[in-house]
Amino acid sequence: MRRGLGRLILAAVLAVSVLRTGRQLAWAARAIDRFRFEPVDRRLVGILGPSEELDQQIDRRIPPGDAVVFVVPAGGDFGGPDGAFWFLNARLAPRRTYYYQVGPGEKGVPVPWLEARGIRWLVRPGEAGRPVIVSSVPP
Amino acid sequence: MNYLADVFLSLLCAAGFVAVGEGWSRLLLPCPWPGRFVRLGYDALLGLCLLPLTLFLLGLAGAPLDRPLVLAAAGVPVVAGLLRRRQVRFDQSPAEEAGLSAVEKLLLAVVLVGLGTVALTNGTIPLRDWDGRATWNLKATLLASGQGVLGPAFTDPTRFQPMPRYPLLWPLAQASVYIVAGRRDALIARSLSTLALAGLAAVLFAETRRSRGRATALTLAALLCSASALTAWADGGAIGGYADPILAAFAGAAILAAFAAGDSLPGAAAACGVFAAGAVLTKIDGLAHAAGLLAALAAAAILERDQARKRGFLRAAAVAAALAISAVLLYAFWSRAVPVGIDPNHLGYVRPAGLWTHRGRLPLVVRHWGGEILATYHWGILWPGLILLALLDPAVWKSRQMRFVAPYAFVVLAVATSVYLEARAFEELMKVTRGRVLIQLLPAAIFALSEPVGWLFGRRS
Repeated sequence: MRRGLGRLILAAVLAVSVLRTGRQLAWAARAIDRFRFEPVDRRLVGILGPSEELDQQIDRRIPPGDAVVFVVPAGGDFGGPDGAFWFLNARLAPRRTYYYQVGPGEKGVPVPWLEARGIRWLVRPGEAGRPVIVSSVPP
Repeated sequence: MNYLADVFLSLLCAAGFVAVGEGWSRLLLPCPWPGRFVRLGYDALLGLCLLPLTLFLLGLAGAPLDRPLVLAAAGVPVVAGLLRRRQVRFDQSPAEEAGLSAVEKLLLAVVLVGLGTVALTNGTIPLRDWDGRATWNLKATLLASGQGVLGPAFTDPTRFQPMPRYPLLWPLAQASVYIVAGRRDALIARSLSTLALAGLAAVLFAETRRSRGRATALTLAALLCSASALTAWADGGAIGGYADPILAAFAGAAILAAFAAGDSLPGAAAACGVFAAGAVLTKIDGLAHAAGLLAALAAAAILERDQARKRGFLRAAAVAAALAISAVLLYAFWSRAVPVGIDPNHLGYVRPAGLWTHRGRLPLVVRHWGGEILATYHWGILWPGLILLALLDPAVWKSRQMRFVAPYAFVVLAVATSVYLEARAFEELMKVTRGRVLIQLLPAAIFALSEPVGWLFGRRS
């Protein structure tokens, strides 16, 4: 009896874990094409490099007329006021910078510390034209 | 660069670490467990530990971190290992030779789905966790750009870098991939996280199989590889860029090798020591794991009646203590040259008097631990399930595995709790780190349940 219950518990634990893992697997599999053909995020991957190279890298990867959108988890702050957004943002000027909230959190509320640093709230994706996207969460 | 070329490059880099591990294994550190796949997993962990450690030592000696250096650090053990005429135990274990039952095939499928998910995510989705990108990968990028471990990026106080004193083992492993590949793309280096999880699963499987058989061993490996905190959580799991899964791999392998050392498996004591040193040089938290490991070995040596086993534990304790202390001294030597910056050295703030002052926080801290155990969004029902399994089978509390792991887990949790009690914004700190502490403890916790899981398969000790 106890052994049967134990097997049931073990099966339930594994089933739940596999379901959650499988969901991640499906998402990663769907993402192959997106990142294979349009590796938007890669344009900024590695940009947090040595400070002497940073400006050069930004100039090479993002023309001054482009906009940059930081995709942030809604309700979260992705690093907080001391995070690297402001650090990157200072170097991105005069490019337009936006943050776009995605995910299950509260989306209708602007993030004051991002606004204070000149990173604008992007309510609708179209407003930024065809931006470079810095994604912190799945788009 | 096209996607398939990237995949090939990342597989090649991962294979390189396995080859380095195999070289060291033939030279000095034989794999304690039989079996081909087990050996490859052990080699992976050894390579992940010893290649960056070699680069760290060479960097401290002033060698420039460039491609010739990385290739030499990787190539010398590989070539020396190939030349060594030691009997290589690439043999199949008897259990491997027998066919898998249907249940075992299912469990193996779960292991492969978990590893496949981590591999696919790491090879597809750009790094999206904060610390992975802005702390750990930044260090790797700095190292790969020609800055040595004592370069200005680390030692010049006017340079900006978050957490400058974090240990460099994990960033050096990634940096060596960037240097050899000639590109600093995190997607290539993240195959190493998959490699670490696969290596840990192999070692967990090998050590459990010795006493509980293959089905139990596969079950524990399946519990580990499908744990959603590892496979689906970027802020701490194996699909992110944090150092915690790597620390979990080294600390887990150290505790498993320490347990094997009790049975005097050849190479187990040395492996225990090397992985304990690796844990110390991966994260500051590794100190707690090394202390816990020594506590477990000391307790086992004291309580063990069998003289041969007692000697095995004592030998492992001596090797682990010597190598872990050497690692601490090495870290201290390096970090002395690095300005403190905004490094939150929480462990350094812990004072006994402060613990007493803040004792009123203890119920809240305990509640947070409970909250994490029940955090289905990280863990599914893994922790409640494991606890229920332990409660169902009272024999677990008398099992050798549980008694060995208990002092280790107690020390790690006690150190973490002490840090939380004294931290200024302790609730905020707990919210972002408590899950990662449990990730570090997961391999040992799963191993501790060998007895009840073995009981489910009719394999009592």
